[in-house]
Amino acid sequence: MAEKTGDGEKSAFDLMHQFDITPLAGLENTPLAFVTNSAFFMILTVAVIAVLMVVLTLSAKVVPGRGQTISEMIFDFGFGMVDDILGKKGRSFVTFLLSIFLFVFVANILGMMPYSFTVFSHISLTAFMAVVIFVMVIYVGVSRHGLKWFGIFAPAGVPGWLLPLIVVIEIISFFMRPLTHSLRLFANLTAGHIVLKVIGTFAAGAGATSLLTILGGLFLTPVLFALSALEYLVAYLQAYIFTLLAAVYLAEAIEPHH
Amino acid sequence: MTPEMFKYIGAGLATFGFVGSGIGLGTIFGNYFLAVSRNPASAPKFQTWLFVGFALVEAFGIFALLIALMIMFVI
Repeated sequence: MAEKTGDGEKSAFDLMHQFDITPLAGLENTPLAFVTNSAFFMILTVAVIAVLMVVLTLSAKVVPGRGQTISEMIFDFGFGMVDDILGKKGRSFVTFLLSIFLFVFVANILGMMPYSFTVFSHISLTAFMAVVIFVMVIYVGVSRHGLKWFGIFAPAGVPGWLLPLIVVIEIISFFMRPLTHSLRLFANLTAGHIVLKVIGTFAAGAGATSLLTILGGLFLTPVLFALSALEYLVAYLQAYIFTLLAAVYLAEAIEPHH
Repeated sequence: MTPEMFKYIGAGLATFGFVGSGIGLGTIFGNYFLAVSRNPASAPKFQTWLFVGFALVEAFGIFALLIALMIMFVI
């Protein structure tokens, strides 16, 4: 891990600098200083999704055109995932889960662009989303099944002498959910962007001092290219997994297996 | 040896938790490909639960990473 060289100057090898939250340039000492780069990219994400969906479905017909087909594919993806896990009963959660997926996915893709900011590299945001889902799961479970819903802590078919232990383990793992749910997204994106920064710094900065470092830089450039492709895969996969786990948790609230 | 050095050694040792996570991920994906190569038609049925299992196993690696990050930056 690179040492911070001081308050004033930033080292070229400062890996954590890309995650700093600062007010947007030009807004530092104005009343608008609360518009940080994080807030700006969240607003941008929502704007991109909204504009894209409006433009794609502008001329909706019975026989879909090119744009409408893309938007229908997105909705089919959401419905397919929800039908797999929640069944037909969970159709009312499609909009919620699809919004989460699109928000995380588009924010991750925007964060891959040079000089942009990865919103989900901050645990405050992922933890907020995970806690909202956690509270929602408890609310849905209790409102649909009453206090009987807490029977999920005592799985069926467990011998009586083992039950106290199982209940304790189940309760602990239940309350660990928001922690793992938020940490997964945060850790994957942070680690991925740090690796990109390390390889990028080597590939760009190591060159031009001797023949060996030039060869090293030339060798690392395709590696950087491949790693960027991997990061796009991670951006999609983590958005998918975040949504998938939210759906799995909701499935337990809708139809608990006692 | 200063206490600062032990901090770095501890953070490095904490990442050993990824060993178990790696073994688990290998088991999950290996068994998925075994199942799918025997019955290719079952691939879509397993895919969703493949990723659920992937996420649950990865959680333990992330716990190890959390400990390492806490040693590095919090303590």
